[in-house]
Amino acid sequence: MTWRDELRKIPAPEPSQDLLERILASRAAGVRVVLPGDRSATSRRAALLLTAAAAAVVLVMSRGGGDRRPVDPENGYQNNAAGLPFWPADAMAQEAGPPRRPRYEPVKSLRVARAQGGTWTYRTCTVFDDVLTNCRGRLTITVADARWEGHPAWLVSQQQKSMRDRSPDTLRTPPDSTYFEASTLRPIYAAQGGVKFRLVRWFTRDSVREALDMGGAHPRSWRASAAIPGAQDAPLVLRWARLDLTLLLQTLPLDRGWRGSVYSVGLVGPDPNKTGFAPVDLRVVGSGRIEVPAGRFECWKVELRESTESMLTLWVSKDHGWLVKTEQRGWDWRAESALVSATPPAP
Amino acid sequence: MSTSAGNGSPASLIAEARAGSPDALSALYLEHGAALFRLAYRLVGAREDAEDVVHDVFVGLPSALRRYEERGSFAAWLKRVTARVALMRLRSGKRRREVALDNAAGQVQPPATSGSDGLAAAVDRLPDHLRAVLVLKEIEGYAHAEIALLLGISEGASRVRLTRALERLRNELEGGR
Repeated sequence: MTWRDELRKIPAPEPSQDLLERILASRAAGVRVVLPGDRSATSRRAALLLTAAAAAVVLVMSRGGGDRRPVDPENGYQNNAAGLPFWPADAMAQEAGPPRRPRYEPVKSLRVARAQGGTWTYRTCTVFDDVLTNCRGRLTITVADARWEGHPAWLVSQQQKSMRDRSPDTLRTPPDSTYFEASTLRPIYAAQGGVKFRLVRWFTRDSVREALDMGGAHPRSWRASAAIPGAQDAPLVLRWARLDLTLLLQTLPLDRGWRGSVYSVGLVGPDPNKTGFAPVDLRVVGSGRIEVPAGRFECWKVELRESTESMLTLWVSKDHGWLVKTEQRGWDWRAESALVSATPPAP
Repeated sequence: MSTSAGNGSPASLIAEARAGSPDALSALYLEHGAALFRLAYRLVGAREDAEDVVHDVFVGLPSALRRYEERGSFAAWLKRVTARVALMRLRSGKRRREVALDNAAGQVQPPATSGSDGLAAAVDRLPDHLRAVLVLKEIEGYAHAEIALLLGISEGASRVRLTRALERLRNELEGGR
């Protein structure tokens, strides 16, 4: 008998005697389950196309860039966005679920005096199926002292570069910039994109106004505004960005057992039923010393949840609150970023 | 359990189950339930999870049968649906892997032993994405193309995962001798 025969003979238990009764009781009680369909090859192709299209939009919105020609090496994703024949919100047309409540108490007591400027560069890697490893990305975040209409502010900029497959070219996203109010770390003004794809958002204490313009073959523009949930002096996170976490993590009172929630803002968009706001739940789950290219750091390990399905693990240095490493895991993939270098200002 | 569903032919059972007949549903469960439970158990690795999977499949079956086009084997269709529900459960991270009470405190993994016990333990220790391909290919007899469809991966990735699963099993079993 081969081991494959043995494999087929591995015993499995029998289901409980009462399983059928439970099934019938559930049916009688009105429980209904929607089972996944039996997809045909055609529908699978359609699903793949739709998924690819949605993924392209997500990449555009997340500054992931792309690998299409022609490429403007100075402005990687603008042409992709300009060529898209649909509206991002339509491509991401998920059913509007009930608004999720923050899991923890809202973050209140930020240690804003701890915020510091500097430049942090990260290496970004993606591992699929433990087989393919892509570590060609570099993310640079710069935080600088600034003023906005005469008031103290932080200017945070982010740019991602990615080496292209089998090419010496470097793909660069246009730098994204956001002004944050120094006393609350709430965004004041955020601009992303370049000429053919540009998203600009203006924030007040209780509302956000957005302007999205896409050029190219299918030009379109969108203007929207919405009320911001939560307290008016609570920190607010920009979705699809890591740049705002840089300041937030420096000032959170992280400690063993600490937890707190903040709101994130995405596209407000044309459909008022699809909320542009979602709570981000943060929780310290451990601590330890980790090593990255920039050195060794004593870190808090922080779990960040943006939805029930999405979780990001952050390692935040205990001394300065630097974001040292991030990791996100999926069914068969893993995305990581690790601090390569840091340039804090001279004391 | 006796049933009074129709004339007992597969087509009649399916038609009556589609209409929501508890007797027809019971008859289908008695015919297919055990095999579907074994498939679910091998994929999710825990009795409670496997029972949840089979529960959901049969609770949702009357509605799903309205989309069933009666092409090919009903048993094969039911297995594919069950595999999908089990894989969705794996992906959602809802499953509860079983840990024997004796080991729960120290989380000590028993060493692999020879024979089917060692093989079963080694299969159980495989990562979910490798175990799923191994179970579907080597135990359930699916082709790589079908596995690719079920898991939403390429045929090549399915082959790679099977090779990796077999390598790990071989290493574990040889290491345990």
